[in-house]
Amino acid sequence: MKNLFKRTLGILMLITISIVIAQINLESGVALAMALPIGFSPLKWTAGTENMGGYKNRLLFIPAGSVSAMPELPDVIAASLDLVTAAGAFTFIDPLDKPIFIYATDKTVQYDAENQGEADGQSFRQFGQFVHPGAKPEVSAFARKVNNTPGYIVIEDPAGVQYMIGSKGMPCSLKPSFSGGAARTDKKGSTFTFEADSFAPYVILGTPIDIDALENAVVAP
Amino acid sequence: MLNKIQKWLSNPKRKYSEGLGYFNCLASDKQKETFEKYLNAVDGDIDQYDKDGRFPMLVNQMVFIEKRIKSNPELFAQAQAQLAEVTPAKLHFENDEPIDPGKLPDDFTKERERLKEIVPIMAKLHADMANEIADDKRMLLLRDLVVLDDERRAIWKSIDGKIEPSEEEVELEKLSLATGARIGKRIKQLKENISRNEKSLQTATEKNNNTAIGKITKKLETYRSEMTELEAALER
Repeated sequence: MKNLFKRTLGILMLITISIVIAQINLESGVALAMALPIGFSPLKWTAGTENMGGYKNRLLFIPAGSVSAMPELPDVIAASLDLVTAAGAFTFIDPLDKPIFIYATDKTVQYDAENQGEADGQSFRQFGQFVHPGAKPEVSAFARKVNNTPGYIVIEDPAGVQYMIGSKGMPCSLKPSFSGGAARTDKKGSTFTFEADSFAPYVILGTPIDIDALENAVVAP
Repeated sequence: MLNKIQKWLSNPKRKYSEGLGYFNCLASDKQKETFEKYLNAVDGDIDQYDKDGRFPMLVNQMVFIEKRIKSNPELFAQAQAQLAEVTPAKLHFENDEPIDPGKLPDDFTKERERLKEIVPIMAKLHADMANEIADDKRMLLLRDLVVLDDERRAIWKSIDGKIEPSEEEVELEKLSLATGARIGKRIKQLKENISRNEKSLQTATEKNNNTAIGKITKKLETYRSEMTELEAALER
């Protein structure tokens, strides 16, 4: 009886110690390791899934300083999707402000993410570019203004999924450049490259914005 | 309900009036205290970036509500079932037949309608799960199914709580309790008697007291048969 009691107590202690060791608390949305309901699941690919490359020829830019709230990744991770899905709305300090709609020449919106950092410190560098055609004064003014304005960019893939580049505290930076062309067949336009650091290769906007409404804003007569 | 909220949030063409309806129904007291008046001070639908900033505010509050529901779906399902404005009606049912939602009285209209909504959705989720191969997608479907099932159970529990048993059932229940208590007490007494008499039997056997052995054995038989009958009655 005494031996059984000692054995039971020993097993209980081992279980308690292993549970304590398994509790690891990290920052930025990843709460607990091993005790989380999320884990690794198979990455399958269903036959017939559509996978068109590139992005739609329009995007949004939101200056970081113009918003008091923005879509964010959840603090408590309940499912794998929570790690890469930001939800919420951009709340502008001046309610008259809205995301800035930008037209981009078709097939010029590009987005990639590469791995960066040393072992035990790896993350992703999100980067891309788009081209806005023409040499209108307002484009040059826009380029001058965003040249040193951190913000957030929203792009949309052909299937309508919106992605957000930049996050709170780690905004996206834009680097405009201009090419005036040489030959008569060349196109004039400004190329904007953007980049941001992130924990994820891409962050999906779980509360997408109605870009149609911003593109074709109804003006009150 | 969680499904509807998630669909609303993931729809770029979401309508303010629809979201406001969810907010008014599901917001916490603190949220209502801070935001209800302001968010409700509009007529109909507004632009996603209206000049007063209401729509982004509503979206952010709905995100909080969605997180709260996801983290505690059971509590939410019970709370939703209790949201019914109908005064609890005391009803009597003649027998123990299973209750058909379509036959519920008018007092349970809201519960009936919600049950009619939920059941086909659950059937569809079951069918989708059967057709879906990817584990992560099946997990999402399972999550939705569990939430709907919790809500369905909470609604039935709420309905059960509004049904008053008949007088006969109440009397029978009282009688059963009293009888059960009496039987339990008697079984305890019998066990003590049996134990005491077994010790006496042992002593009488050691002393070769045949008269005492005979009497004690007879008593033990009586006590044991009574105890067997009472235990059988309890199990019934």
